Amino acid sequence: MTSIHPFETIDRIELSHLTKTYGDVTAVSDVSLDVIGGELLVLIGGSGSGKTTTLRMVNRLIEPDSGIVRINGTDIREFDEVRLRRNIGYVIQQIGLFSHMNVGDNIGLIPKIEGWGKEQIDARVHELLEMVDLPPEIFSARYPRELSGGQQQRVGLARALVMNPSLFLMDEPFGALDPILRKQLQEEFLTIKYDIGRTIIFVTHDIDEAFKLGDRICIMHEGELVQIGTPEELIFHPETDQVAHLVDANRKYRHIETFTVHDLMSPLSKREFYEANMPVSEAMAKILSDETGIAVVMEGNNLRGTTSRQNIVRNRKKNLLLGDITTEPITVTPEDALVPVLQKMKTKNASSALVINREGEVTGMLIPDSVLFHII
Amino acid sequence: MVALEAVLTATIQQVILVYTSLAVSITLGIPLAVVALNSHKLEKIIITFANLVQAIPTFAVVAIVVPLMGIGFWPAIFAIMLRALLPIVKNTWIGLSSVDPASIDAATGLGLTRWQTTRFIRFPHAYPPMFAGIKFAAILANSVAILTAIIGSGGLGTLVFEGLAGINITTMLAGALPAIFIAIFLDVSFTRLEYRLTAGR
Ligand SMILES: Nc1ncnc2c1ncn2[C@@H]1O[C@H](COP(=O)(O)OP(=O)(O)OP(=O)(O)O)[C@@H](O)[C@H]1O
Ligand SMILES: [Mg+2]
Repeated sequence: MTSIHPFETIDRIELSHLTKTYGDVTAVSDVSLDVIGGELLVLIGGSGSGKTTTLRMVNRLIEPDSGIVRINGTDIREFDEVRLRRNIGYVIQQIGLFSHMNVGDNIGLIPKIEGWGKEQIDARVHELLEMVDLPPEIFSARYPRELSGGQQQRVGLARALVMNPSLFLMDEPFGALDPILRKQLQEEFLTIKYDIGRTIIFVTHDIDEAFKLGDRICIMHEGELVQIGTPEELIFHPETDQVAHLVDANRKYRHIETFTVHDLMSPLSKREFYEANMPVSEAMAKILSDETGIAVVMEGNNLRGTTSRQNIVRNRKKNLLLGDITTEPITVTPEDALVPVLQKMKTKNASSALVINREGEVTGMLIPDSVLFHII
Repeated sequence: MVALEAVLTATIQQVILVYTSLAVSITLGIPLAVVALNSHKLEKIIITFANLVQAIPTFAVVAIVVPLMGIGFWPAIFAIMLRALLPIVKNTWIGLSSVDPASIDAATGLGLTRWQTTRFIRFPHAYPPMFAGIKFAAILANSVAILTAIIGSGGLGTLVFEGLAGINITTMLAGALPAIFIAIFLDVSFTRLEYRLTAGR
């Protein structure tokens, strides 16, 4: 089968029981995982853990000894391999710019082979160089040896983007960079990532980079897949000591930027819900034995507001109903990023925020004290 | 005294010998290098053969051709070619195969076919050593073409040998001097060509 376009968009990539050995070395051992269309999946692991080998089985640069890769349900061996690769942007670990071609020709080679007109190629090269922050009028005519390491990596990135592929395989694209430039390129890449909205498999051995860029992270060790999950799943539920060590689970606060409200909210039990028409005196007996000391006051199925133990105690002698002493709480959704929510609570001097899901149900509470205990 | 006309004829014959044998060598040598690149088995055979022929003294190469092909223009071309082939095959092959593996890897990963990789990545990279090989082969061809006069190829060798036989310095120089000029011309022109084709890198 030699269809012109093997796929327009990616729904799902299935790696199923992939194994590859070289003599005595098992580079990849029975690895199975699914990549979901539109996500950035990070492969992370020590040197020699099989990341590159796994990646290269997706564009058929390496044929597995056993196992199958399917893209949108089709075994990739059914695609013409050249067609398949032109549909996949690939950034190799060693950059691999063509030393005898200038930057423009490096980027424009595949379009040229595909028979694009010169003007069309020039326009595309121009657009991509702008995108990776290399002014075309300066860089287009330069040769690779006239570029710094970071500039070369950016050209490699542009070259991989040229055919506008729906899938990217990126093998340590920021590997050779010093920390400052690395950070800068990561930021740029994040904006590119949202711009292009493509499916990306990204190899790194830097856990901070993985957390920063990855939607999900797949941890590899000696050719095997150890655990796959979102950054939060790995941090809060590491399956092995090794994963816990890698994600530095004892110092979760290091990754506070990646957390959402969902990761750190306290679930609410029935006990913490109160009816608005309950007399304050009655509520006091109940709240004194309560852990959180915050009452979620409901009016039937609707949220009336919250009130605190302090507030209830203070008003215990007045002949009031609970509904009379509630205040409007800060409400957040489980998907909200944690840090901005905490900042908002700080400015409003709020001791708690209510978590309300898409269905409008109160699913939990965010209490800074409890957040703190969870992340240290 | 040597007739100017005789020198001119011999020079033209010499030039024809050099360029014809060179053209044949390039036409054969470059494809051979590509074949060597794509098959380990043939690579061994081709490179071993080319080295072997190189080890045979030039005079013997010229002599061997006679029982095989007789004497005259084409046997001479064949003898010169045997000499000129090695630098072309070997240098082209070295140039084609010494490309940074990462470039080849990137090219394959981007979806270039094997042929496109050879055409767009390997060849441009191989130009400098290839041209050095061709230039060397051209100068070699010029000197072998003097020798082939003894198997009836014509060319400046006729004058050189005539001069040697009769201990006639003038006749000898009438053959040798144009040969030196041709060698210099070949060197300069190929250097220019090489520069133009690889300029800017
Ligand atoms: N062509 C090959 N021949 C022999 N062994 C190989 C080959 N390719 C990979 N290996 C071995 O397979 C194992 C996995 O290699 P791989 O390149 O996939 O690791 P990696 O996780 O990408 O490592 P790194 O972070 O250093 O790039 C290593 O032990 C490596 O030595
Ligand atoms: Mg690798």
